[in-house]
Amino acid sequence: MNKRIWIILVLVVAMLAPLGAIQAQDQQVVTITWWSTERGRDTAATRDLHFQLARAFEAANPNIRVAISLFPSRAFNTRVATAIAGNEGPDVWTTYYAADIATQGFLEDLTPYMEASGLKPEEVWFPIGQQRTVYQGRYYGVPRDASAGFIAYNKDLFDAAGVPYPQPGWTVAEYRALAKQLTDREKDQYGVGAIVGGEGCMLWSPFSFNLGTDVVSPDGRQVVGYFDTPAAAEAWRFCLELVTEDQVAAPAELQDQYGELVFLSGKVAMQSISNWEIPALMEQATFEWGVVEPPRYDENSEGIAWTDAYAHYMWSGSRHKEAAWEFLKWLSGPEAQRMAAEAGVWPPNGPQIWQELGWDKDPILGVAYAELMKETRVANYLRSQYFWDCVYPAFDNVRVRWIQNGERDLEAILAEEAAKAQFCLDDSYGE
Amino acid sequence: MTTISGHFPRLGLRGLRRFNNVSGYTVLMVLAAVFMVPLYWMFSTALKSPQQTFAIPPEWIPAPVQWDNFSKVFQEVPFGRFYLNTFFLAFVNIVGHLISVTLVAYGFARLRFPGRNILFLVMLSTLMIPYHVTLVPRFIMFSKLGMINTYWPLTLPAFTGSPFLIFLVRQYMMSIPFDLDEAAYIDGANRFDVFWRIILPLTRPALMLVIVFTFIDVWNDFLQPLIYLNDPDMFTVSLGLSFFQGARETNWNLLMAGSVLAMIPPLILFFFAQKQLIGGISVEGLKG
Amino acid sequence: MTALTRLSRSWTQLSASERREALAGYLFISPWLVGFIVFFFGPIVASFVLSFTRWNIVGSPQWVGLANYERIFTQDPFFRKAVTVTLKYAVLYLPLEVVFGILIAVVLNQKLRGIGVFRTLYYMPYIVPKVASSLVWVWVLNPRYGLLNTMLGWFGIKGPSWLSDPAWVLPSIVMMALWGVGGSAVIYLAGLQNVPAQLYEAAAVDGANRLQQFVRITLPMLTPTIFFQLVLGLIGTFQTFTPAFIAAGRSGGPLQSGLFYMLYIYNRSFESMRMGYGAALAWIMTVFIMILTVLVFRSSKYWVYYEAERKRTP
Repeated sequence: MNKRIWIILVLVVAMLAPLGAIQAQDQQVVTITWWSTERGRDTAATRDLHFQLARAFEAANPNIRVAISLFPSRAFNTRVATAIAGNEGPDVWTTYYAADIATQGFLEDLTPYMEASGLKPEEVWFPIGQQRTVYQGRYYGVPRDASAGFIAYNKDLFDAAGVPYPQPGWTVAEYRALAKQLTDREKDQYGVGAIVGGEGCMLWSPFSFNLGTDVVSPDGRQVVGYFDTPAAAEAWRFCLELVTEDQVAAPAELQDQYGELVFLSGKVAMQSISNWEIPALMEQATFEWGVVEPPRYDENSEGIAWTDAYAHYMWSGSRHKEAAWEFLKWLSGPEAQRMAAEAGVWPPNGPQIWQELGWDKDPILGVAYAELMKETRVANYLRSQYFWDCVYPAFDNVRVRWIQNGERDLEAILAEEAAKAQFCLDDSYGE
Repeated sequence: MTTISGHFPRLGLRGLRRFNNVSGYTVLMVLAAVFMVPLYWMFSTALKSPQQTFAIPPEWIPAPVQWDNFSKVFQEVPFGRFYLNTFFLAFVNIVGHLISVTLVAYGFARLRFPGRNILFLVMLSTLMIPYHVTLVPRFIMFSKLGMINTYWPLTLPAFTGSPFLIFLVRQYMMSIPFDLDEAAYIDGANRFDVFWRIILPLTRPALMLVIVFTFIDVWNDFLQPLIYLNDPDMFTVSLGLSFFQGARETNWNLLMAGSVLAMIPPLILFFFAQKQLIGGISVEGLKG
Repeated sequence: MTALTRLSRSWTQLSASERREALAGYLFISPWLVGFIVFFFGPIVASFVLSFTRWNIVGSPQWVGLANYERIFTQDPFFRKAVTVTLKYAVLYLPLEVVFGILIAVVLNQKLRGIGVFRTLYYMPYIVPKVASSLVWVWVLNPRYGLLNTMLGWFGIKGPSWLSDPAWVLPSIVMMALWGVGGSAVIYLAGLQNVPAQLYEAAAVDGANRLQQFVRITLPMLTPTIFFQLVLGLIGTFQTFTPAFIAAGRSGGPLQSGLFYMLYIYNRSFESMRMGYGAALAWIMTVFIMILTVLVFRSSKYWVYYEAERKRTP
């Protein structure tokens, strides 16, 4: 009797065996793993580009193979972290969060590699690329791309209202006045895009920077003392009052139908957008439109650009660090950058390719180029995954409390939400 | 019926029954509508174009009907792959449960050993403790074993049985007369023979339940695949569907088409196994 | 009784054949025993130890004593929110589940032709995978294009914005859960069908009307089922994850009004990678549920009716 049970058990184990991943180690050729997200305007094009890049790199480096895994963007960072925890992390991965998780010890410090291969960030990358992946003076990643935020405006709506288009050097006060002028609720027409979700006022970064504030400390670890300052309150009030006082923001329902780019509905005069939305506008807009730099605080202040970059990182536990570095260097270098630009998937990370393609002279892309060359800051949402976990909900909470619950003690709201977010940040960073 | 007749003396028995039937059916129909309307809404949205989806007032019957939404779902996400993965997981889990649950249930139902009752109580009490307290250590255990992003964490536990199913099958086995075992032992059978040749065939209806419950559990499971699986090629239907929600902002028609596709297999199974399933759940209800 | 005493006898007192039987018994239940130790008891102990550490599982765990618990109880604003949300949900949902479950069971208990079809229809939503049903409801509850507000519009009612209104998030999730009440209705139905018909006949003879019969006979006879459902429901409530994750979103929706306890455990453990903290949260939940369950069990003697003379066949 016992024997039979053992036979069954053995059979069961045998049946399960093929389930486990079998990893064959090839001695001659090194295989590195590359994890990235499919996020992009065109999933298929983004997917294809990943494979084209990997194949082109392999052609140039015959002893390195790249195994690609593409994931949905949601929870991507968790996936990377859990894989690393299981000692199965990717050699190279691509995401948006910043290097402040370097303290957790799973990001490889790339500074020595960069010095060894003579890569000089200030010569090849836009300012955002030089700041984005730096933590305590060390580089932990290389920029995948570079994009900028600016304002898109609907020329048809401006013309119909007989209002001149916004010009570079305009101010937040002018922005607000234009929004009021162009709102006509009878005609279902609104001055600015919808302010909903955590994004509502968070993507206000170009404004908050220009309004002289930031909601997080430069290292991304402190919200109390940033989120709740008088300057932040002013920026907050500016954003929230567009909805409640001025009533110039598009209704939230419009977003259900058109998605975040409600500008495409043709019912919105101005919306804060970035490079990523340009192809969609080019293809789908049924009206004339233009773009302009984000408004400045007043005539006397310099505008601060709002720029953005994804980055490629290396796992400190990688078993093929040299090969992984070769790949990172190549990905951030001109050949890969040119391929991505020509595929129309990612805007290049440095001025060279932009100039090569004549984008710096383009009436639309030229605005982005000018922003990318300006003084910039790392936008608050780029700072870390913990920003999404902790501070993003605070943005939504302030919005809900002000707009939906009708609370008006902004300072108290900000203080409370900042405290909660701070608790979460402290806990996440392990302080 | 006799109980009610005193209540409506003037209607007479037949009239009363007709009245009762009409009101009974009305209530039944109204309730059915309440339960079915969200499902109908899901189906109709699944067959709409984006414009139809956002029409005000809504189109109750989409015209024209967009059948190709379903094929679009397969193009947008590897839904076929999700299906295969989930069926595979369900299959392995079912095999695991069939082996482990029957063995354990037999042990508890038909064999005597010291501590049996205590162990059985311990097993039942695990039903009362939320398994989520084990979630974090289990995850750590599997991650240290390098089993993240494999199917091991989603299959291995099935081979150790499930307390609820063991309970169910054990109750069923208890109802089989012991004379059968005695007779077999007299004929020289050993315990495994009795288990394999006598008890197991008689337990078949309960095994049906094991299969159905396991399938539905695996098909519905969301938290575990969410935690353990990284590679989209390994995703289950539920997990894939949730990512579909994240990836597409406003394609409610496709999202609903995906939801329809996700509910078809359990529904089919449900229709075939209705009797056992509802009967089995009643058993569950009786143990209180 | 003899069977019981025999089983409780110690190993040495067993005869050779009894020992063989016992060995076989242990062998047969060994899959569960192994699973219990590896996947249940071990992890529970580990979870308890872990709850006194700080660990992001990449490095090695750091012993922090009671710090996690202290933080949870004295500082963590989300813990308080998560407990409130989950308790509110339990208080809203559980009674409704019992009431609707019984009502539907009563409706289904009629002896009508085709009643099986209705039983199937009511049960169907319970079969729909939770992810799919949550998605369906998110769409049904869409403030502008959703079915519910459209239907409310027919009666001139402007529906709320449901899942984006902090006041309506929990009611929405309760509604979603009640859609699957067919699952418990079937259990109550089984309970109803176990009520001996003689009881009703006797009551009818005594002149009790249907409502009286329901209150005096049906309900008391159903109390064991209600009790069972309540205990399971309580545990289930604390484990609510998928509807919250899909409908309210990972961070719990507007003002975290859908931050269910389980969702919070998930966020801390698997998004922020705070394994020790997550383990402490899970332990608190477990102890809390155990206390609640004991209270429900204790209270049962006041309201659960058991047939005193019910005979158990071995």
